[in-house]
Amino acid sequence: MNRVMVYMLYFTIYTVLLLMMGKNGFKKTNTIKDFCVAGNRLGLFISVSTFTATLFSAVSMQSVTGSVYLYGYSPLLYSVVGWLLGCSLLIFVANRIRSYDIATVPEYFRIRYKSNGYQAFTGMIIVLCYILYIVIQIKGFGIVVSELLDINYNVAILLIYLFVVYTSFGGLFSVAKTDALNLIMICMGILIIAAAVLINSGGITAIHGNAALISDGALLDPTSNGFFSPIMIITTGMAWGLGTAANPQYIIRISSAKSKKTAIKMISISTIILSMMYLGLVVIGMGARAQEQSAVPVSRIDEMLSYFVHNDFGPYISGIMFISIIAASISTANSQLLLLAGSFNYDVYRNLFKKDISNDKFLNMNRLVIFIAGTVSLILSINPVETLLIYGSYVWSIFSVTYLCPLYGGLYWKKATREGAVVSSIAGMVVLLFLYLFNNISGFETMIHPVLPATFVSAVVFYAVSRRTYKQEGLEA
Amino acid sequence: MTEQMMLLGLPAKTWLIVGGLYIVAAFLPTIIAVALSHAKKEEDNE
Repeated sequence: MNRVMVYMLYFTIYTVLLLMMGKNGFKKTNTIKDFCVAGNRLGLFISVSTFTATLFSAVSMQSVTGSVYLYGYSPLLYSVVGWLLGCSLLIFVANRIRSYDIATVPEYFRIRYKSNGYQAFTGMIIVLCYILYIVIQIKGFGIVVSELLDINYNVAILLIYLFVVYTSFGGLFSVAKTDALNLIMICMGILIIAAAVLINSGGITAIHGNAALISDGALLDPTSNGFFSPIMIITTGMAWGLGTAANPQYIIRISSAKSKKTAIKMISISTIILSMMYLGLVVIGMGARAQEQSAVPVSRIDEMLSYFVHNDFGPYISGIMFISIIAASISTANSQLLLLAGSFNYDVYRNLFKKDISNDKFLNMNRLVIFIAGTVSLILSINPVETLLIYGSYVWSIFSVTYLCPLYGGLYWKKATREGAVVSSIAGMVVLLFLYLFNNISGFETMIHPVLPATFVSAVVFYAVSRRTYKQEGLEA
Repeated sequence: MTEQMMLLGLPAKTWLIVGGLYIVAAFLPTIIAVALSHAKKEEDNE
């Protein structure tokens, strides 16, 4: 059987399995809560599957492997370590947020800060960020499917519609079920290719031995022999970490778990699984580079994994890896599409204009928004960004500066006030935007990721305004 | 490179900085979860 035929066979099997798994969710989804948080009744296995598969996106799969291939171990510090540390902070959210009965994270803000306007504002942040972030997943999918089926990139990205829109239509039940399948596919792909790389290269010591000969050992140095400054590594890692810690797609999985205990176990177990999956990608990226010695002629580092797998392995093995990249893209994109549709309808439309919307109308509106938002992301993906890892860190930064302080402050500090939350979100956004434009227009690269000063300003403003307005509230009382 | 202490072909400095942070990051949620659970038990006992 020729290569394209094998890939098409794998692709068809995966599609059938995905459709079967996704179908289950349609039957179970009857209410708003079913759609947004799976009725708060997901067990440990499904919770771990959906949390892990959602966090492990096309960025993880392609950009981390490509970055390790090109720069060695240093990208782990400014990406993976940041993500994993961000998960640690989520334990503190799980410890408290379960006492709020919520369908979306912005709903928590409304209950805690007694502001419908703030719920709508934070809901719109979700819509904006996820439309931008889904571009990454569509691009990841497009690169692989165009390689896999030997079709044009623009045709390939059209296919993601079928998968993402379909699985999102069934709500979180569908997404979580398909995430279980996607996680199995991702793990299979990583395990098989990592094992093959280790065998072909003669083990990890041999890989390191060969890598040491490249660029004076830069691949084995924590800063790539000074190519990345420590301040850049730390602040970009923080951008990812804080973005993860304040990201609604992970927080909503805390709510969808059947209990607080399940939610905490979900985060702990998922983080360990994720760390092992990333280790697999390190082996692949480092092993590929050690084999090739000079970097392959790919136009973008995100395409390295597809190039390597396609050229160094037979179709039966490389096909599994391609499917696992597709699974990583879909598992993240459908979750984000689900959240943004829920936020638009629940946090903005229902909250501000139509409080007595029926369950059926809500579900249909969600499906319409999923379709429209998917289309917008698709159009943006026609000319995608250069490097997923840096682009993604900017999108995540928006969550850091708007959500982080109001979320954690609201859960752990009784003096946190509505005014403090609103002003800190706006101040964080303004500083982030200013620094982003300043860096890009002036060409003055500070090496400090804008998220760090922006989050700092947001935290100071949150504290100062809350202190002041809390006292005023006390006096008025 | 040859003057540095190596383990599995990787310099000790990289093991310490990258490997150390990686392991801490991977297990930190579990450590925090256990610590919170102990703190709650003690609180309940009081």
